[in-house]
Amino acid sequence: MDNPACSTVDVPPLHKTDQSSTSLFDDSELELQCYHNEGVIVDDEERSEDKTEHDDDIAMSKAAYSDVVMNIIQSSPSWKNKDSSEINSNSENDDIDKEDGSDTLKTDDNYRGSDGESSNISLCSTYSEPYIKRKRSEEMDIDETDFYSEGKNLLDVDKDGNASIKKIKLEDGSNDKLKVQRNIIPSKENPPVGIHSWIQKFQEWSHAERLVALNKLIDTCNHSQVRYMMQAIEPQFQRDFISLLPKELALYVLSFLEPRDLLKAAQTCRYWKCLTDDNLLWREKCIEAGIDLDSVSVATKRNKNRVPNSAISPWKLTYLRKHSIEMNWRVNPVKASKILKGHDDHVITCLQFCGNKIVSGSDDNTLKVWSVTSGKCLRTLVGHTGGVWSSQMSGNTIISGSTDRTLKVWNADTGHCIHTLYGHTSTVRCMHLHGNIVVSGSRDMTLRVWNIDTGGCLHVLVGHSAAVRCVQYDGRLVVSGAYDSTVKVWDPQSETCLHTLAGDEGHTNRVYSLQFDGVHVVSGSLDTTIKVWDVETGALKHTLLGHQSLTSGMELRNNILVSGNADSTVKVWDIITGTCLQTLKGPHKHQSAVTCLQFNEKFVITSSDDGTVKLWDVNTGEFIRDLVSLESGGSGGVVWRIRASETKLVCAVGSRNGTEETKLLVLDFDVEPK
Amino acid sequence: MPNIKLQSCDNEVFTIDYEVAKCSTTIKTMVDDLGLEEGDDEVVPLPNVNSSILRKVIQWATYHKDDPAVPEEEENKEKRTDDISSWDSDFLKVDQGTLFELILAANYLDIKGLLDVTCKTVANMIKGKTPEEIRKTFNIKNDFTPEEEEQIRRENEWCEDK
Repeated sequence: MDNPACSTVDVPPLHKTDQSSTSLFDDSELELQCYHNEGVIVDDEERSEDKTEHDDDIAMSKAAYSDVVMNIIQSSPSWKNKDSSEINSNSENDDIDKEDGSDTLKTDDNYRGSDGESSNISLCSTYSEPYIKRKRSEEMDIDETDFYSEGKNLLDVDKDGNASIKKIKLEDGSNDKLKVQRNIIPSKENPPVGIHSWIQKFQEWSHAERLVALNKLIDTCNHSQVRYMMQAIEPQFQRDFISLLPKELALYVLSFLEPRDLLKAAQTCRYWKCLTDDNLLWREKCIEAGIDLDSVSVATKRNKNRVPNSAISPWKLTYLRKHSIEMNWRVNPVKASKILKGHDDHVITCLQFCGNKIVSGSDDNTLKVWSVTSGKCLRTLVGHTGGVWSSQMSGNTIISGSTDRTLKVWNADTGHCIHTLYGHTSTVRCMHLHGNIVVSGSRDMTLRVWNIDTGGCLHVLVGHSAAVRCVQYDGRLVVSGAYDSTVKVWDPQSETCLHTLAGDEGHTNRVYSLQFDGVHVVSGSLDTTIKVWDVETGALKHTLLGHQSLTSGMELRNNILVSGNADSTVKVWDIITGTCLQTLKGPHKHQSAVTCLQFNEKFVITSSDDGTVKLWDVNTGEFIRDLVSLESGGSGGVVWRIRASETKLVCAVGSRNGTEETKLLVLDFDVEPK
Repeated sequence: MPNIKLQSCDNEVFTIDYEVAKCSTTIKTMVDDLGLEEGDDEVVPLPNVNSSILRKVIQWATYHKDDPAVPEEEENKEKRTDDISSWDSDFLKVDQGTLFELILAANYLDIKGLLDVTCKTVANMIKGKTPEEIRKTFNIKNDFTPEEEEQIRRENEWCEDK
């Protein structure tokens, strides 16, 4: 009897199907199905009402019968569409005796006429129920509706317990010829005649015989019955792996999923949610995505402040936050930027951004310290007597270099100048801070090494034959690039030049930009090339060809170099192989010289004289979108400098011709607290 | 010791090449511990595996007996599920019940290659599906209240690229 292929559709408790429940689509579907099986629709309540009036009336009263038909009609959306006006006009009317029965007959024919498909649909809906639940509800149905005993006054029942066909005569007698055949709906409780002997016979057979019989049975079935069989059997072979496997194995399965799938899986049921929220699972996902522990503590701290629910995995929270931030950069609408106005109509020449502070240096002889969160100017650092052209920042210490030939060390919090470093005889054009040592390069062709705590000059590096334009210092070696077209490697302690990167293999024009990772020196020049050198031997490793003009800015990390060029393109290079991985160009490329850039493992952000800041995919080289696009772009508006953190972008913008006021724009890509 | 006898929980004895059997760390350890030698008629009992599953496992192990040892995976490497060989993929075209028992058997017998490929197969059944599709695939009952469901949906929102 438990063979699902033989079990029949369970009948829903029919007493539920009164007028008020017409919206229950499931019920209506089943009812439709029942009716379709040439069964009588027997309504418990209708029947009990009837019982009081026509106690021994075997035939269902016309009123009751019509009401039942109405139930079917009303609860059947498809019928409603077909003949709703006619039927609905009667549905509220108790006086339906005048109905000549043709409508009800029509109803009948209509449903009987459509074969397999509709019944099949209702079967589908029934069997999409989980097997366990379905089984349970079948049992409940037996308990809830004592269908058979309640209905015996209406139905003849033979000795096998099977219902036989009854004739129904409509009361008004106008349709004596209309005889509707009705029998009980076949169900588990009311199986077809002879099913017991059928099953018994089956049970007597051997395994092999049964297989033959099943094959025969399948051959006998029509398409919809075979499909029914499949739907009944299929759930028996389904396994909820995640719930049924031992936890560690379930987690192992889940560990093969990507975060997006884990989030979907979390929404299936409680147990899956519990497992997919596993902290170690998300730790693994974070590590795969290169997210480190530092950001976890940030996310957890934020979560404690904002969401009282501490049950969420800190690693999951971190992952989701990182992902949301990435999407804020990539696709979500950019929130209105904060506008930090200052430096009047002067040029912002250098920009630092660290923690909650922005420092802008200008050719108006001042630097300004800004709060990122409030957008307010906290301090204006006044003291230089010439334009500020270079700066460095560490903690609350700021160092600036000026055309007044000095460097100044400032306290960012108080705005006080702590030291003024005298020694250079011309403009201080570049500097690099490492620890408490800053190395400065000047138009006076020398470099100086300073202690910013004492303000003392430790060393002077002499050897270039033209202005020093760029400098890098890693705490051990100093590397400098100059307008004499050479790059020099210095030992600051002995004040000796270890290598001069020049000659046949050297640059043929001014060197403007440098990167140094302790192993490789990368130099960008007005001669359009970029060269990669070995710092220990001074040997040229690669000449990176492809740019058309001056390489003004570069960034090097993990052997990946990104270079911004006055030819308006940006290139991504592998400095080990010397190959160009990507060129950031195409229809959305900058229209004018690239002024500044920054990149991380996902993005390159570039700014240009065309007044835009663009976001690119570092791995594919694809243009993602404009983060900033000045209205004055093309007519004078320029983005001079950009600095970005994980969640914020600071842009120094302005113009030389008054079309764009000098200011800082701060864009926020952080996630909104939920 | 060219052959070894394995006994399933339903008492079927399989005689197989030891080279095949030792891809199971569990069997290898048992053999080592028992000190079995060539000519021994000792049977290794496997009380957690039935004969039909053991037959499948042996079929898998026989095909893969010459595979190079699986290298230890790096922790920070993204796990792939698209690297199932076509033979394995055909081999695992089985009903969910069989796949389920294969996972348990691979785990019990400690056959990493089989465990990985079976778990990946299940992962692939989850991938790219909506919660409702996942429920349908594994016959899962949604036991969230509508409020919970909405809350969890919001908590697990995934912002798409495109």
